[in-house]
Amino acid sequence: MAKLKSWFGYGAAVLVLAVMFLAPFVLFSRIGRMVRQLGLRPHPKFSGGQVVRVLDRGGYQVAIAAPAGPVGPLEWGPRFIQVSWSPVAALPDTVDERLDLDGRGRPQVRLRFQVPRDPRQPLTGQVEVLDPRSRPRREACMMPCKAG
Amino acid sequence: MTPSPFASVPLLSEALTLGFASGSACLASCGVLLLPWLTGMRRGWRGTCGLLGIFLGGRLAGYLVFGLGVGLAGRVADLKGPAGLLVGGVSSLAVAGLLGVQAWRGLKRRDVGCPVARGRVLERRYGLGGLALLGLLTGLNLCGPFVAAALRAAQAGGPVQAMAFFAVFLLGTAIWMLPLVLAGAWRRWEPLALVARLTQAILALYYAYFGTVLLLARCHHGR
Amino acid sequence: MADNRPLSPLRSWPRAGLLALPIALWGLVMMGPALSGRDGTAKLTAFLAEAFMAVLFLLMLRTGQTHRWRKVFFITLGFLFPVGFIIELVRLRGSMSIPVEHLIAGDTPFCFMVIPMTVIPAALNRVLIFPGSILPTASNPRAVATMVSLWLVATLVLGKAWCAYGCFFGGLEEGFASIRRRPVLKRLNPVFRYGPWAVLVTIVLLSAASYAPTYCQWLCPFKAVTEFPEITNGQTLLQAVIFASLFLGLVVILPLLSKKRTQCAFFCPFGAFQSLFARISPFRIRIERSACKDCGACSRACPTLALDAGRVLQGAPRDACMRCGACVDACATGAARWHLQGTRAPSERARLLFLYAGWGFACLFGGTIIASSLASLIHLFR
Repeated sequence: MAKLKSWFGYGAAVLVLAVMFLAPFVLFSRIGRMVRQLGLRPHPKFSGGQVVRVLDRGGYQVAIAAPAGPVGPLEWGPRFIQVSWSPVAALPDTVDERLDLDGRGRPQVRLRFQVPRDPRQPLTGQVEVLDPRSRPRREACMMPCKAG
Repeated sequence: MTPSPFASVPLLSEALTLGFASGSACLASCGVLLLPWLTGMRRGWRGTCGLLGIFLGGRLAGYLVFGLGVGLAGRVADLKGPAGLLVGGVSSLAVAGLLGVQAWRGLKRRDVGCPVARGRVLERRYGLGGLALLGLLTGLNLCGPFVAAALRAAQAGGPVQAMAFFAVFLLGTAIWMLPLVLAGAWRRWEPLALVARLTQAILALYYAYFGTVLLLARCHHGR
Repeated sequence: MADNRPLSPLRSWPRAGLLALPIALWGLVMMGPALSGRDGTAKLTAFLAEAFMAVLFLLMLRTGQTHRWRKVFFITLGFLFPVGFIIELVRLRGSMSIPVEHLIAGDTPFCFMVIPMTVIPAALNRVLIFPGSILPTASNPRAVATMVSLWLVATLVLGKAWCAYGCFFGGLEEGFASIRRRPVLKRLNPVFRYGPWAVLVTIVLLSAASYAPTYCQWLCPFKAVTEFPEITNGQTLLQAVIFASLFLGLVVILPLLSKKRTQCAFFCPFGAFQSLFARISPFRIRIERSACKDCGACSRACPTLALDAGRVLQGAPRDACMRCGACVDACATGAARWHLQGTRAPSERARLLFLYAGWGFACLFGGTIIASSLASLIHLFR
């Protein structure tokens, strides 16, 4: 019995060493693939939600996502709708958009902002609520609005 | 024409379904508070079942009072507005106070020799009452499922029906709470009870902050 | 027959050099990616870092002491990591704070501390409650898949010893704990040993209920020296105050006064989480009762209060033991010793086998962090 335990003990030590020295060559990639296969996705309140509509503006596109934000029993914070403009290089110096966020044919908000050419410059803009039934929000878009 | 005894069955089955469907959210929000409390009291299986019953009793009391109110009023005030912020803020601060005192008593008692009998008296006086109060306060947590139940109960046709709706709704959510009885399995392991008390202390701070923010939002809303 | 002799400090250089050779070769392998690149600075710092690790390992074998040399690596890692991290943040964003657009773009590096909080939401809804990316990207190489792989390997290889050979935060408090010769605070309330478990339970429950990484949002002391959300309102200001206070209290002041790793012993939830896997590793510390004089040197040396008089009597430290080797180094009679579970291996053999695995991981992870941080520092001053 003592001999068997000893075999197991040394075997475990060899296994640990094998895991360690094989890790960079075999294990990391396999485990990474397993993690990918789990099908995890970032919570929409962090990633901005799924894009439900894309508006073509000629040179650039405007992607509107589904409403996202806290829904759980102890989740708190504002719900939001993420709007993305791309590609940045094709944007005019000033963007002035009236957006139909819910797809019912009437614009709910008007967004105006200057496009900073340096990505490290903060993005500031103005949000005007057009639909009186929409609850006014200080931040109606994903960039931090420091004015309006 | 005598009303059929089965007239309220569709309403009650709706309540049960809503409660069961919402139970995971209730478990998540109540479990945060209940699990450390039950673990800290170290009562074993039967004792923990009894404690859970006391908690659910407190919750039922809160639901019935609320059901009576919405049934009489026939409508539900804007629960996400100032009223909701006030109720949420006050109940969160009260929960924070409860947790804080429960944690303090549990940790302090360790320093005082081994007054087992005295400890039990304290626990009996405060722990059980505190648990019922905790149930009442968590019952006033204005989460999505509760708001949905309140809206439906307001349309139930009267205070009795609304109270019945809430009672059955509670039953649906209570099924999800049963796994919390497992907290009684580790009665003999003192470190676990210590961890539970320390957890309550940290949660007390969290709920104190949460309640304060809600009340500040209420004050800001009122301007 | 068990080896009761004290670890002999008279080890020959040739023997130590021969036994250190595998680690030196491993260091060369770790340098490979840097050597194959074009950045001369990266090549130099990779060489310096792996040479540093190899020399420390050699000294461990030569002197028979583990903790003394491990500490040098660990403190170096603890101080260089935030330096390199902050330099990179400032280079990429212009500040240490995270703008909200970076959060939403999934550019936040995934930290291993988040792992316990993500388990329940991931298991129930396949949702990651963290503003990061699942797979590595150009702007975020520290993605979920990468860090989870590292963590899993570390857990299989080290178990709880991650806290002494892997964690790039622990070196800070170990450094502050090493400053004074004698502690000012000699008695710490043992109740607080359960603090890490309480924090772990709290953050797991709250994260499951709120679908947000509660520890990162409210309780991480190391946000003070890495990155934190931009201060734009009262809440973010309060968060910053909490981070700074916890860092000053638990990582600087208490370790300085008590000479213990108080953040690890009393607060860190990841340490508690890793304690769950403490038994995976077959490498343990044991107290041989027949040789023990109950002098208490091992308990005084233990940085995380895993050993006290009661545990010495039982012959083994708590699951909080991080295999740092401080107790073994402090024991004058050789009663505190390394042990390979199930075997009667001599202490030195068990230690050597453990160090190959533990130091191998340290070279892979900590060594490369030291190299990249040094490179960032050199680039900064050029």
